Amino acid sequence: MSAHHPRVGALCSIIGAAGCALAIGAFVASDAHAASAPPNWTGIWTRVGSLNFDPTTPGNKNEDFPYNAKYKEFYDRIIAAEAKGLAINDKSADCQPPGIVRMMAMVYPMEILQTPGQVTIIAEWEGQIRRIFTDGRKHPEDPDPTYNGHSIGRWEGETLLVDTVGILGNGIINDHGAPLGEQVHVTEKWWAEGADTLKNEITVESPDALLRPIKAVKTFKRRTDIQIMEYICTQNNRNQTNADGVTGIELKKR
Amino acid sequence: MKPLKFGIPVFVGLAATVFSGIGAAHHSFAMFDDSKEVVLTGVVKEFQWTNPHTFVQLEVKSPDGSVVEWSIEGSSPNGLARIGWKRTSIKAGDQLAVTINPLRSGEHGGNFVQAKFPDGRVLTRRAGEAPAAGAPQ
Repeated sequence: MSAHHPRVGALCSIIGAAGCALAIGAFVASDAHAASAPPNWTGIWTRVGSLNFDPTTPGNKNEDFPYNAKYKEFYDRIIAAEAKGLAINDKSADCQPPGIVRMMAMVYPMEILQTPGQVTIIAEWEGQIRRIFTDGRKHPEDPDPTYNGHSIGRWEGETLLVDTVGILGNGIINDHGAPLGEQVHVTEKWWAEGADTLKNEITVESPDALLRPIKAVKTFKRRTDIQIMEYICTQNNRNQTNADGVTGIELKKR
Repeated sequence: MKPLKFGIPVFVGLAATVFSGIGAAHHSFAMFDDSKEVVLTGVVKEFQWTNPHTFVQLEVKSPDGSVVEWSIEGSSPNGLARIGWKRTSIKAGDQLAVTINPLRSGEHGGNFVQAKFPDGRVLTRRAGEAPAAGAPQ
């Protein structure tokens, strides 16, 4: 920061050298973040941890969520059926896209592309794409709900803050089929720890299902040894749910 | 690196961490009994190298001489390719001893744990995984 800084320079030429030093001090404080360009996270990343919402919870454990009575009853039924080997509410078994909340617990890698005004997440899983607009636009009024919703983000120093609305209801939280309600709002805080680790603190509100927001931190590792591959679930899906909504396996016989 | 697959170098430490539980990517695996392992010995009818899951169709001869076809579900080609598998890793006509977690329903299907060829080569579902307990040696 100096008098050569375009904003400070212009001010100095107006108020003269005496006030210039003070002005520089003020700009150093206010401009510290804006002056640093956003970090570059373009590349391929793989998530670490279990497939649960909180990746530190072992994958074979059912997570506790603060459901209201109606959703607790549903979740209890899902868990009881699962224990008997009869998975229900297994949304992606029929090749439905996972939806934003479940997607962020993905096992497959994702590619991040940073371009002016936009951060794009391309998940290998079903080729799902999240466009996070960082150009200052607002959410649309009353958006049509979609699997991944409408995301806007802003850089606060080297942290990316993302707000997502317009998310399709009745999605799932984790691979055990923990349900979301009709109303879903997701906020995320993304930051890097060193060059090769990315963190995502994700907060999910679903006021018609959850008594309070749930929060977890996901960790992603940079991968330079792999490429994103094609993944089209309908290519050969032999795990369609049956008439009772239970995930199965299509057996072939001689 | 354990009795690995065809000497393909893999990032054992990293992959084992990153891909643990990769099988449960697209659907719940509750239908498989992962507390049980069954070894099926037979001949490959077909190897489906497809998303969302690979399948080994294995023809297994029963003691009475009849042949039963088993559908053995494996991870996706994406996960397996990253630990060294290829679409040609298993071929129709291959003799295999396949270890599975069987379907709880008792039907002729299961989840792939590992496969052993007559020459001793072993294919595992995760990088660096040791042969399953009870597997034919």
